[in-house]
Amino acid sequence: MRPGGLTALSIFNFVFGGIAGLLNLISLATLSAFYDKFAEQAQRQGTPMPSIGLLYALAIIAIVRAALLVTSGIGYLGTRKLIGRWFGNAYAVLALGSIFFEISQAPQQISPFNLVEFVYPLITLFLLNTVFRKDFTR
Amino acid sequence: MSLHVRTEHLKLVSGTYMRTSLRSGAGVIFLVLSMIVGLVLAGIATLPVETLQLAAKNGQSAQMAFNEAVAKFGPGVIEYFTNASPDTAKYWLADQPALMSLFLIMMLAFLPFLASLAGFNQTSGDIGSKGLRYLLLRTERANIFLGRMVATYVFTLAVVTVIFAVVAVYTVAKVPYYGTGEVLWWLLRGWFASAMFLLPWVALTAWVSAMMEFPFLSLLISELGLVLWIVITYVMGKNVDELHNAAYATPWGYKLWLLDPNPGMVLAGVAVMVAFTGVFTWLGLRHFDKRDL
Repeated sequence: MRPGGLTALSIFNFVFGGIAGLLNLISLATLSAFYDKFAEQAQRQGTPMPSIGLLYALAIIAIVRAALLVTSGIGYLGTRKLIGRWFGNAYAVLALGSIFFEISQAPQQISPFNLVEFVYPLITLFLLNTVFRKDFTR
Repeated sequence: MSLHVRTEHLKLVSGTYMRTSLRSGAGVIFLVLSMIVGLVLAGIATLPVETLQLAAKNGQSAQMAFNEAVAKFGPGVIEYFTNASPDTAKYWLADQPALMSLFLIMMLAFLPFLASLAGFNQTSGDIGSKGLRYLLLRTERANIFLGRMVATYVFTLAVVTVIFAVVAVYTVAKVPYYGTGEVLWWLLRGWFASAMFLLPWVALTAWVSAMMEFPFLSLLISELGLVLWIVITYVMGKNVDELHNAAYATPWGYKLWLLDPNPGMVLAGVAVMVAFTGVFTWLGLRHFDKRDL
């Protein structure tokens, strides 16, 4: 039987994954249109601006992360090993990795709200590998 | 009221309840929401640093801008929102790391809501489903009630500790205006204040949970009751003289005693928290002992 906590975690996955996926699709679609304006602004302020290729790569990784969140949410509901536990772990590792990468690229841009971004992948890793470790049976 | 408390039974009940609640929907929702809200509060408290660091780039010293802002707006804002005396406001803003004081004041205001989110289903779900009757063959009612209350307290305090630890690491690494020792000491005091302030609210939630047969009703009554009480004591207390001291009828009114510069006030605050915890626990136990399980 699926524990209530896994159901709650899957709902969080759908909410966070849905919102993140939608926002990142919008930013991917509008990136080229606004890049020149932002680059000009950054040059005026004397702040470094990442290349458009890197920004595209980050946006694509964010979409993959969102897709993993939603897919693993479905896996949690079905208590599936591959698309539940492993996709959930893959999301958490990818999310933590990309946050570390973003921080290493622009350490001055770290804000306390980055801490919030850290929290969900950490909780996911903790719960999937300790509390719900034996619940993925299919 | 029969009060057969056995340490071994208490340990067993609280350990089992902690494991079960972490696997439940309410436990996971509590864990995720409280971490997010706690860190957002920390974000709000340390947000001015970003603006000031931008000001530093434009030629002005960030430290100077920060001190100016704290001296100009800080005491007035703190006095208005907390009813603190000018001396206490000065202690929080000038003698202690001001941003951490802001975080602690917001955190203390958030803790009662956190406690009721953590503990609304301590007994109510099992009372509704009559599931406790199997447990009653093996242990006394007091062990179930107290064991679950202790587990809720430990779980909530663990989450609060993680929030404080993350905020400490972030502040030490990112906010350059304070000494590490100063930040850690003030946060440790804040953590102790939070640990004391959580006690009566967890006990109150245990009592409310023992009164209700439906967990959702227990949550609704705890949270709405709190909101209503805060609105009455804060908004109406400012306008109606009779309600000026109404906040002191609950632990809410004493929360900032725990951060007071005067050690006597801190001790009095601790004593009040313990007293309220005792009263709420006794009322909860009494109710749980009498009700049909």
